[in-house]
Amino acid sequence: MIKAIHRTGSLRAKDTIVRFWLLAVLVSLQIFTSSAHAILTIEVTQGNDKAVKVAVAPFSWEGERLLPEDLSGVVDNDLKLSGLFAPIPRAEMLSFPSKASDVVYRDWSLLGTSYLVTGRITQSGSIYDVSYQLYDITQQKRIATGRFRGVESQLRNLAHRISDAVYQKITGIPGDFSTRILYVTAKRWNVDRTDYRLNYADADGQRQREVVRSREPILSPAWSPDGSKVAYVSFESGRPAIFVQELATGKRDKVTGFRGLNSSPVFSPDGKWLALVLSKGDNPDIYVKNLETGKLSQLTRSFSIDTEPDWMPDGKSLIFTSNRGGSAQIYQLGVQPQADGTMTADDKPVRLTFKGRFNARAKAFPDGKSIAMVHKGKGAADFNIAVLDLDTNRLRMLTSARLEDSPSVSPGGRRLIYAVQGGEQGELGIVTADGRVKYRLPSAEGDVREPVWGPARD
Amino acid sequence: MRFANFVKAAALSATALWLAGCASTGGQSTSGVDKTDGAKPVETIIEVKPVLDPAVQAVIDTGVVKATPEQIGKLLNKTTYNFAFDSSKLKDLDYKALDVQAAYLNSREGRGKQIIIQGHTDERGTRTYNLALGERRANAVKNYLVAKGVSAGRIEVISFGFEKPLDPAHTEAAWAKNRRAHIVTN
Repeated sequence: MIKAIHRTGSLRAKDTIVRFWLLAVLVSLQIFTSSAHAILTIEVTQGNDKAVKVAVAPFSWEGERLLPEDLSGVVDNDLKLSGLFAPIPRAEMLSFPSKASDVVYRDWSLLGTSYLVTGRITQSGSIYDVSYQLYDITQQKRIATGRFRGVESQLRNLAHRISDAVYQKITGIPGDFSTRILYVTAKRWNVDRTDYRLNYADADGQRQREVVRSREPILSPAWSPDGSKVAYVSFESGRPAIFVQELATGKRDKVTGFRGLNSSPVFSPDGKWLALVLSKGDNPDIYVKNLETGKLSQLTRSFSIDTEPDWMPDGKSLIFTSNRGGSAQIYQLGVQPQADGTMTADDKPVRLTFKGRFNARAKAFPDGKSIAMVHKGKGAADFNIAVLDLDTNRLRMLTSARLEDSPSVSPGGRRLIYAVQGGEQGELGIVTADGRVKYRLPSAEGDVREPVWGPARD
Repeated sequence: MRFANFVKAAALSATALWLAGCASTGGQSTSGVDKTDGAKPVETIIEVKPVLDPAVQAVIDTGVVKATPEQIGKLLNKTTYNFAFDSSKLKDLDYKALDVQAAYLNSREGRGKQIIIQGHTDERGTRTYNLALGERRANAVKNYLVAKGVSAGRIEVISFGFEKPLDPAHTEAAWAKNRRAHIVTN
């Protein structure tokens, strides 16, 4: 029996060599085409030596023309970027199975692979149909199958869906590969001229789209919970104002344009409120705007800086930065929506951070059990991303480069994206929540900053 | 004695020229006084009066500033005020300059002017916290001017945080330069 399998395996090997070269040519062509369009590139700076080995075999495709996207390559890359998996290179694969009967467990097992992903792409009319299979090599059985359909422009979405499904089947936690990130790029020509752009792209840095551009600063972008709108601060009139813009139509509303600061907009988890910061020429305080009635409620009144609000996932409290205690620290404030469309807040916020002289720009994890923030260390440029466990009060440092800013947690809570400003050019960084894997996303278009991890697309 | 006076006048005039930065101030067109060294007395009859930058003259005329025209000119040109890290406290030396700025804004020359005070920070800390800090710096300047009698309605404060660094380098020297409030007079 073993012999028989072995023989079949070697017969298959011959067949695969031919297919391998064919595919290698196609695949390399595709990779070349897509990387030429990449504006954000990805560089792994710290890998995971305990990563689980997986294999994503090139998906079979029998269409007449070249597929515009390398779908299995997208899945392979997603799994690698999760930090949990180490996909084996295609060149090491002995076969590219696409049917259960073609899977030779022993071959994959020899390669040290724990899981195998195969797939098949067919087309009828303008609709592509992508089916995938996930195999557990150790147990020698297929553990998941599924299929996704879409038009050509959705091919990458279909691949990300497969990554999500595979990730969830293996880890039990939903994947966050179908998400997008929002970020600002700035090309500085000289002291008087910088070109700013607000963009969004897939979480793997591909398919960048522009939201708005200006010669004056664009800051503090935020996603609406359904991913259909974004809020941001624009200085396009020479003064700051907060805008909310629909991504599909480009239609936008000016939400506030008061004297002084108009800063840090962030949507509530139910999408009905926008927390923001206004100074009205005096001290900056936290406000919320009811997006249905337009009513504005002031939540803090202090003689200090209160800024950078974020909602806890249950929408019942806000966390924010305040220097009311003499240094910038994170506070939490309970809030209550009222029947008249306003919102009220507890009398006193509760201080959450005590370690260090500077903790700011906190972002809540989706489970509400911890918050990420910028924490100042000893050195002059040591501003790094830290996570505070709200139960144990333990502060854990995640990163250690110079001048890091604006952490944002992925919807699944497994990864964080942040800005790194200390180098020659501002870059984005991604770190897994356990701190094990780090990678950077530099932009070909100048400084890139203020990333925000958005919800999964529909 | 006459000669000594002449030299003094010429020197003052030269200072005025230097202060004005160009020949826009009338009156110093008298021939023979076009060199700053003043070492070449010319026979021409001297009618040169100390001609000052009208802004400097206006400050002097308010009578609230005790300083030489030269000092006043210098302090009028000081439109940028620097700060320590994470601080919005003005320095002792800044008050003297702001006294002159306030006197100018209260003078017949500056009375009609609106000003913008820009607040800037270095790149350390978070972008949004720095917007607030930049505003505090600009407000520190504004509050002092208001205390000196300038109407708050004439002053607009705009904070840019660290969006507009004078020097984008990641060094102590660049940071020190970038932490500033800047007065722009229209």
